[in-house]
Amino acid sequence: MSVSSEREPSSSAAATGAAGLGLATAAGSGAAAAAAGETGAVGLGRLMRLLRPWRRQLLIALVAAVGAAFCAVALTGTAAWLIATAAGQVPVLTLMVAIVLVRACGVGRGVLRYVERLTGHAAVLTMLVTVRRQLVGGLADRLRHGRLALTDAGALTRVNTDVDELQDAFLRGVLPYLASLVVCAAATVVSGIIYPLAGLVLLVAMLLSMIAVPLLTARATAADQRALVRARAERDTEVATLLAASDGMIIDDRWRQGVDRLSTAEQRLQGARDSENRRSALTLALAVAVTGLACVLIVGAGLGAVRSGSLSPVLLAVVVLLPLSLTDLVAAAGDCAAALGRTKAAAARVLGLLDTSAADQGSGVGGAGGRGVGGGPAGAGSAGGSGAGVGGAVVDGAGAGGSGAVVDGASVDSAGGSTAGAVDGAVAGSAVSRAAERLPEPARMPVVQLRDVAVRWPGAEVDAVSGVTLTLGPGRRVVVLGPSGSGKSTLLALLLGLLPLSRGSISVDGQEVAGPGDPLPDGLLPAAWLSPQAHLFDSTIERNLLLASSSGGTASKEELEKACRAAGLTNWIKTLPDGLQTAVGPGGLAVSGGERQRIALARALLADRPLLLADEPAAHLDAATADHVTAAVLAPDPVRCTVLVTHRESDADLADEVLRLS
Amino acid sequence: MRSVEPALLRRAPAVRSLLVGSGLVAAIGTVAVIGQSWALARLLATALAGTLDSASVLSAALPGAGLSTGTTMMILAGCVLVRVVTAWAGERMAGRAAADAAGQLRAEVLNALARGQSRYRSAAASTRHQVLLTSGLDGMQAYLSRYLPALVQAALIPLAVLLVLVLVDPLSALIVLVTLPLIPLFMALIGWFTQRETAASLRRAETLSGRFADVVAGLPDLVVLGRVKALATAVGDAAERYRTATLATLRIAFLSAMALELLATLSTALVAVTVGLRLVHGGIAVDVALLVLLLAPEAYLALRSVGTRFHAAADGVAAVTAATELLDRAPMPAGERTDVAAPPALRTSKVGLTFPDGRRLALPDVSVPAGAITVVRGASGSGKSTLLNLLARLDLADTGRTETTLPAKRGSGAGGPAGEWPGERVDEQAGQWIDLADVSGEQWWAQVGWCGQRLPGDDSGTLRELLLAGRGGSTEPTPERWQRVLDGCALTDVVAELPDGLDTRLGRGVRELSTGQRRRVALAAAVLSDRPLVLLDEPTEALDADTENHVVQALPAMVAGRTVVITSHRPALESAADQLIDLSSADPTAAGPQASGEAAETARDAVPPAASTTQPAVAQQISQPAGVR
Repeated sequence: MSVSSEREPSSSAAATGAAGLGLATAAGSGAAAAAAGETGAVGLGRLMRLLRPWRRQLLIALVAAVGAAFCAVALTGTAAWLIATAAGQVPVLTLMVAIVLVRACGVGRGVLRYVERLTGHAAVLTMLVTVRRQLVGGLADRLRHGRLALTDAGALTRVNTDVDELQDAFLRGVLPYLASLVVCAAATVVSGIIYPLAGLVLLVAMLLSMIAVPLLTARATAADQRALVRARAERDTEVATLLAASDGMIIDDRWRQGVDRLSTAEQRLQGARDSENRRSALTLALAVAVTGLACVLIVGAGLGAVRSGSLSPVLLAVVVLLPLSLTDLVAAAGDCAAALGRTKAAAARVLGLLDTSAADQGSGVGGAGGRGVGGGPAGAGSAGGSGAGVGGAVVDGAGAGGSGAVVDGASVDSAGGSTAGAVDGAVAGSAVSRAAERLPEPARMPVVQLRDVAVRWPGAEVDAVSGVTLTLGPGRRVVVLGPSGSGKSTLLALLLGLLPLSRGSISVDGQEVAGPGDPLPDGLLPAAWLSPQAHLFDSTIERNLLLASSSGGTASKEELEKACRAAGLTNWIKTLPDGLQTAVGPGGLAVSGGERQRIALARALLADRPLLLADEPAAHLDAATADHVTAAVLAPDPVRCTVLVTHRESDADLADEVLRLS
Repeated sequence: MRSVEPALLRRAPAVRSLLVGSGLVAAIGTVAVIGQSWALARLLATALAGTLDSASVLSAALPGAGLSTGTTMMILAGCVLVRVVTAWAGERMAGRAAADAAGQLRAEVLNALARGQSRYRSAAASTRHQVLLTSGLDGMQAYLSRYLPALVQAALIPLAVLLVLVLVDPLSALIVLVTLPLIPLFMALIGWFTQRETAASLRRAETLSGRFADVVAGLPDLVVLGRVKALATAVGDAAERYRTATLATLRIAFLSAMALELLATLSTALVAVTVGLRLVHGGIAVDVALLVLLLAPEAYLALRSVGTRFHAAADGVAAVTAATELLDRAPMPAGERTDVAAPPALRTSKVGLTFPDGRRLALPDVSVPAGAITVVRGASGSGKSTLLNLLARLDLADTGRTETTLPAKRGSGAGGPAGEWPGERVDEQAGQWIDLADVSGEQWWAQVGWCGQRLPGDDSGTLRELLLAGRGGSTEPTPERWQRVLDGCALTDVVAELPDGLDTRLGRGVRELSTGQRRRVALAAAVLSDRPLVLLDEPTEALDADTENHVVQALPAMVAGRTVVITSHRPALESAADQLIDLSSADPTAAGPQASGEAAETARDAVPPAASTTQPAVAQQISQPAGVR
């Protein structure tokens, strides 16, 4: 048998022994349980816990896998029996049973394998639905408590690939490994029953190649993975650097230098890949060697046993062919281990996020309950009194509506006649419990004074920004200047209530509201936020704008137009065939950076919050567009207070007050 | 899926060694498999022979039946060993050759990008190129190392098996020959019938997967807007439908796999049953029957494994297609002329360009006098940056010409290397306009001091190295000039803040300059380069008004005598202009009273003769840079 590199388990197992089925299942699940504990170091145990709610489907998949493998085994076994018996020149009628059996096994194998794959994938995919839902909660929680910076887009995009990798961990790691393990264990038991020595040889071979080698492979792969990920990130950065300023580099004759640097990075990456390749070659060769060697040993010993009469030659054929038929399964186990090692870091990150979101959900339930009691008497459908139940009902409506885009969900929520309070009710966790203190909206901009304020990120040793003294008030336009890393965005996170003070104090209308250790009380200073690379959701322009609307998603045409005009969008929208109904975002019209930031600005303005916090809104725009967008952000407004964080000195010209950080 | 191998073979020679190596390894491996099957058939037949009535049954018909059990055992062990080695070697070789091929293709792509026009390297195109050069080529590497060897095996193993079967048992060979083509046939049929459905559900799955990404990417906005709970539910909803869509795709895939598997196993069963029935009648020897039983499945398996890896191939094929498209684009003409005036006069006539996204841009005719400052203004998108790219010879227009002039006199000034043209001819052609496309790119670029809107990173090196990068081997500027240029470009404070001043190491993760600082450094580098043509795209962007004015006032002295083209959307820079061009209205207008009389004259007289009259003076200025005087 050649080792085709098709690493699909149970695709070509060939042996015999109908007697083994019941035993095989029992031994299989025992071995699987052992493996789960054994490979706990790779996080397999935690992954398995995640799968627990779907254990019935998984059990069906596993039984189907065993059945398919059994069919494959029985197919070759019966065929061998057929030939051996036929050699005795028995009546053809005797062979009919075997002939029918051979065909039944052929069909059974294909069908069972289909069942196995479909139920296994269905179980894992269902689990991922729950994981995805919880992940969004976990991430939001991290953002809300300042454990993740709002502008850390890298961490957010990583979550997407992490979930994909978690999927791989199950579908290419855990599941096929368990199936292989069950079949190999069954084969070992069957061999042992037929010919104890063969069973012993196989046991040693399987312990080595199904337990020890995968364990080592997973560990080594996980270790190499770090180098690989780093090398890949470096390579990607070099490519980006080279492409970003190709014109200047070509003129200055630095292109070749850049290409050389990229080649160096690429070589490092290939080096990391090479060690992965070396290991996979070694695992494959080892699988061939272990099973081939077992075959040779069993033939050598078995021929003697046949001669001495202790083993029938028909059964010898079975125990000799059995190890060879396991080669693909053993090789597959190596691949599964590599997949688990590869996805270990990603799986750990996802599990970490899930842990925090689970904790968050606990507190959320508590908070919602408390609020329900408190809010009841005051209720009567007023904004402040709408309990968590209202929010929940609306949310369910959005889910059941299932109208497609995520933003649609939010619109359904808003269009359901719910008030601002209901929307706030959708905010999870601790925010809900604090929301009772919320000021009625629209709030006026109070006079806010920051005195010698310092802020640090959770877990950090030093303050990200310190010594800030600043006054905010109605109509004021403050520009915060400073190089990257000077804490500009941190200051915004403080004003958004995401981070606590580490020193100093904040007072609102002369009354101190936060000292060291306190964040800004929730809802005291309702703020809109404009990010460096605002995200447009996969929906129409109008829905993207309404997402923010303070008046419940049903902003009047005038309000929409006003926001668009203030953001300098009106003329551009007029050029669009579908106007405000034009689809944008990943699946829609490709929008230039300038228009994207303007839409985000209109969204922030429509939120109608007294404080607008803009974080480098022009960072990725060309000079002329940057000036226009900045001017729109800093346009005078009698009520609103605007804080613009920027590295562009020119923006200071438009400010009432300039704060320089260093 | 269309075949990409020919294009790949042309662009990445390592693919050839991959194919040859895979073929060799597969051939040796196949021989070992046949040998192993033969040895096992012989050994088991020997065991069976002991219990059979040897008079009525043939137990040995295979060649080598006379060999002793010990020898056969040795051969079996040898074959196992060879299989171990080929399994290892095949994987290693495929991995290495695929890496080489990816490297070769990457180099080709980068080379094509560098030699192509600037508009194909725009920010939008860069995103696509980034994907191609990273995950795209990575996917191709996987395709090469996994799919291609399987393809080679699928071509070799069934043939070899058939050959052996023809020799030992023609009837089984016939059955295999008839059933084997059914596998690729059914693969194609299933693929053909399910193509639309598969593509549709795959697209659905991708859209829904994108929706999760969409929410996660917008999460910060949602958190601030207090919309998370509602959206988390919507995400669950989307994820649920993603699951349904994915399962629909998988069901098709698994059903196709089942059909193929049934075909393969039933074919194997057919062979086994026929062989068994013939054994009863003594029509076939036991060892032959065993060999047939062992070998027949190999043929089907090799073919099926191509199918299972087919999906992995799709990414690789997409990458190769994208790369081929890029590589087939005509590069910019290299250009051969090296004799151009310095500082150059430039003009465009009726230039029009089509951008990769289909946008067309026609620029008004522009004339840039030698040795003067021209400021280009115009709304966003009016083609200011495109004009600079044309003047820098980073882009060539599709219609119309961008022109510069030949040197005025042979060997005078800092013009191109003398002696390439016979003296008289040069005199005849002095000051004549020539197409910039005919000028050697490298020669021209060496004349250009460039400060674009998209600037290179800090590189690893000191600030001093960065500032002097354009000077080639020239000597270090005098301290006075250093001071004047740093001050003129508003860099004095930046340098003062750095721990080691000019000798501070810059670079990613070491010490990074801000975007505005980088722009000023690029401006200073362009000034210090002493190159006769200076092209500045929004050099004062992000500077506050006071600093901008300071730079604008210092600029004319720093670049005196050189041809300078500046684009800006802000009025401040216009005060430095000898000539002002508004791309929206297209009429070059002489600058206002701020311009010095002499420069204004040059500007108005913006034709080659003017360039030739200023030439000696310019040459002098260049050899003795502005900052020093």
